[in-house]
Amino acid sequence: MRTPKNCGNHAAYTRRHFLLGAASVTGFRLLNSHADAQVISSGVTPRNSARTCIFINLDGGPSHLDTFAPKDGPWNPPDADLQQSSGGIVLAGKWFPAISKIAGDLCILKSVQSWEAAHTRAQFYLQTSHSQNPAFATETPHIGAVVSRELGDTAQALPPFLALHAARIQGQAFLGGRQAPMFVTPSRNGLADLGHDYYGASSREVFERKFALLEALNAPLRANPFDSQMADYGDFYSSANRMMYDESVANIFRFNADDEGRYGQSDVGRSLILARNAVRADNGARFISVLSQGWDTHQAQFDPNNVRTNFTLTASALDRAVGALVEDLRSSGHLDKTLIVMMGEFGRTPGDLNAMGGRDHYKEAMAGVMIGGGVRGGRVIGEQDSTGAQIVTPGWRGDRPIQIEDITATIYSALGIDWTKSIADTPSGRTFEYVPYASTAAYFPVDEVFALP
Amino acid sequence: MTGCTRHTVWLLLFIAAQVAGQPECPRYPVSQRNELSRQLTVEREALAWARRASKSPGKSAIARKSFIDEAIFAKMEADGVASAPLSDDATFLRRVSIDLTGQIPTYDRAAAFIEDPRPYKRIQLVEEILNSPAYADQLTLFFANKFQITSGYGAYISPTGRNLFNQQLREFVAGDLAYDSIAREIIGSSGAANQVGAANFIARGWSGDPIQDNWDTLTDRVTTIFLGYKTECVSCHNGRGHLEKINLWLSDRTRREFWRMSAFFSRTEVTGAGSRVPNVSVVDRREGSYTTDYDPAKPGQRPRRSGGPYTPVYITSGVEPQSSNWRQDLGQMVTTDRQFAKATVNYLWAYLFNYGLVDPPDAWDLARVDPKNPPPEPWTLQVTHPELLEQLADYFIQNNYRIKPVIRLLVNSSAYQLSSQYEGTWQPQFTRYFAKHIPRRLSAEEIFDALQTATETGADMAVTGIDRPLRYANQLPDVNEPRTLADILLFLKTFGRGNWIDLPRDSAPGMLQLLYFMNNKEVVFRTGLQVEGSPANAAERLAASSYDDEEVIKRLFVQTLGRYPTPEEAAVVASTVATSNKSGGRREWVENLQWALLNKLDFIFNY
Repeated sequence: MRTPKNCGNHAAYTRRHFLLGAASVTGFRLLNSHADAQVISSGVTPRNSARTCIFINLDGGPSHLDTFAPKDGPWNPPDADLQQSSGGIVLAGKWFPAISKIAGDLCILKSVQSWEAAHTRAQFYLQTSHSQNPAFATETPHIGAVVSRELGDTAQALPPFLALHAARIQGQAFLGGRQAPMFVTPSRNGLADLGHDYYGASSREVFERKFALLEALNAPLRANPFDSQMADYGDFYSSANRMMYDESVANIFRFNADDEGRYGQSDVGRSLILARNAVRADNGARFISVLSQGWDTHQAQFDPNNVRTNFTLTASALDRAVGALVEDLRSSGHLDKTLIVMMGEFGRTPGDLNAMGGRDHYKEAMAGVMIGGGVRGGRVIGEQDSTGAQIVTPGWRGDRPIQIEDITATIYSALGIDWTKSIADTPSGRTFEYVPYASTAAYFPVDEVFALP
Repeated sequence: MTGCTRHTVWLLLFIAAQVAGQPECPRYPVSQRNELSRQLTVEREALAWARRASKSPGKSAIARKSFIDEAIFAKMEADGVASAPLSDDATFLRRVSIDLTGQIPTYDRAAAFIEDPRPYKRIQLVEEILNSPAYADQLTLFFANKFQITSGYGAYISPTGRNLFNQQLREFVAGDLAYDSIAREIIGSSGAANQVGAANFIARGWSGDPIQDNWDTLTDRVTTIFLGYKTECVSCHNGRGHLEKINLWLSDRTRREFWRMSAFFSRTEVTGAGSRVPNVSVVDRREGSYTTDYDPAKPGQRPRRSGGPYTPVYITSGVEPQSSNWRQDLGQMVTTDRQFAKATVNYLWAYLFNYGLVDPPDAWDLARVDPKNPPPEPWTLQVTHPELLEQLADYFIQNNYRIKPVIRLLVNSSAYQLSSQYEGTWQPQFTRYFAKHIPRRLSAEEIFDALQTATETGADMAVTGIDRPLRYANQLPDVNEPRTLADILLFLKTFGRGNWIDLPRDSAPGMLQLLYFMNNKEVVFRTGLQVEGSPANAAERLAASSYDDEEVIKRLFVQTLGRYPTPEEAAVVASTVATSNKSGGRREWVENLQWALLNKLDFIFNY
């Protein structure tokens, strides 16, 4: 097996990318299409243990040392209360009481590295599994869009890719409008504009009449759109119409005060209520991206007066929400088929806090968590040194640090997607690999997270 | 050419000749005379080109009206790429109105233009538009989008400062002043940002410690906005080993070269930030240079700098400042750099053609633009039509860096006026030939304004510190306005207006946009619905009018989509009318048709 060479901060891009890239500096920006793609695969058998993935993006880069890979040390506040659970899992009782209770469900990955130490580039990597090469960045899709392409079912009411509480993430790019994320900001009132209720009892009937007229007038242009963007927008009409007057859709986006309280009255909490609803409704959503913000703790991270990047507030919000989510999915019988992934774009500086009482960006070591969806819980993969500075044991068959590419391959495998696939006929002419270099087995799923067959 | 038109042309020529020697002529004031002669120049050029084209058999039937068309159609011909036909009058009217005024044409305007038999009506339309206040609205927003002076950047920019900056942009656009001159002002101004509009540009680049980060941010903003290339990458690391596959020119640049460019800002400081109503001042020291030391507690966003202190060296020419005001010297160097003219005309081209001669227009690779000095394999030339780009830059410079002559030339070209419908099989690489007009989704502001115009429901908006009421979204000075009107803010947010800070403008179509437009009361209330709180609107008036059904249908189409219904569409509507007249009557079908036309796919595209 080849160990990928990492050049500087950036991913293992080599001459091949360079050549393909440079030869195709044409206007792909305008040329999105979802025509029949030419797909290549080296043929692997995905695990197919999960129906849906909830990806909790810990935006800003959480400190691995203060979250899922803690160590004893003077940096811990006196009341951190590190507690050992089964399987070698250690969590701080101060911040993670709820997640500690579900330690038996967690598989903690401690041998994870990031290629990048700047937010934008590292977030791009986390969301796409590709380097943010400006020449291709506009055509590189979010992994949720790839999932959508693979698992989307147009007969279902909901689009496959939901993006909750995220003003902006990398979208569908060249995969086209059908794979676009549906951005929703959770609100107790639910999703607006799902009805056309201006005509009392006959509202729906009137709407159907109007919509039929619209469809008839739209038909010639939809059959011959002027370009792909127009074609994409044209595709949304039937999807939008399917979402209207469907209680199962409307209910996904509603929640009550009880739920809100249990999930912690936070943005991440409200998003995870919606994620739970979508998983339970099982009407189309297959990749749910949830944003958890506040992890960029450069200064005063343990200072109770710090409101913006107060580690305690951020961690506690996540703890409560994830604890409630796992319990709810378990009680409704959906946990086994729902892969929950929790990680940020990089780690933070190890050992003692910096002079400002915070931690800075760090890519040599970080930690991630997987739950449910076929994951065997109560375990840790890999180990870091006593200050969280280095990975000392990879702890998996790759025998090297786990990279974002391996995480992505793991998610694809769990969802039943062949992670070695490539699409050859992209607009730029450059082959788009679902996971870069996976076809040469440079990256592959961390099968160790899954239960034994 | 009809006899009547020929007569008009000669009459105008005659007038122009007469008034040229009589500067005091009371009947034709200077502005009007200039306008006449400008119009005549355009017409004469068009005539000459058309004549020449007709004398060269085998060339495409589309008139070549200027050097733009020569370049665009010659290349297509040479490479055997067919062009789309010219757009029809209705499409042209709608396209140029949206691009240059942000507004769709009203019924009266569209009907008059479509029926107008004069052969030079497109040129005349362009002149009317270029002289309208609406042109100033739209182009002010075009430039405002580049500078992004928002009071949302709360610690540094106040509503007063932002209004001043916007007003200055408006005067620049409306007066068609020289772009190089305002660029020098924007780069070089100092003083209180609440009094000197241009100084807000420096305030907008400030973010705190370490001070070098501010200088670096400003440097990247200057190269991007005025020169068309980003330098941010080399503010953190050398190009070598990083940018080889991205930008050939940048791959040869070093961090040190960047610091030397950034040193032009190193005597600049911003004071007084952070109060609730910021009152910042931009101050220049008479000495000092780019130092690399910093407070270790505040390392900032970039890796540690080394060496120095550095004095300024312009990144492409190697020239050093002549005076002690380095920032003003930088303004001078930027605006006399030929790249400034090239980048500017390319930004305008990309705006109007929806694809740049260099694309994206803010990512030039300076090592891939000169055909005499082509890049090594496997790189290709970045610019699609190198000579045309030079000619456009010359034209811009010859016209004293005024924007309007360039825009006039662009929109009067046949290249701009091509249809979006391609008759053969469209190949992706045809984009680089400009073989058809590439459509774009309307911007958030344009969608809102089009909705107001189509339904005749415009209402004034109040904005802090601005006396005149604002009717259109593209008149708003800041993307956080109108702050008191939550419904309109939500509308504009839904369609991706962005925030001029960290949320870029986004014109990608989305499903929630469609749900919003089909169902939100902000739209539905304007379609003739009989419900409390809905504004008086066109559908309601038309339904109650004495026009016959056919006239009502025609008017709804024209005022919403800027064109008459096709026979296919007329048939669809006729059957709806027939059904409705049996049940709910005219009011019902007018309302339904208005709603359907607003939601029709072509409404939110400029094609």
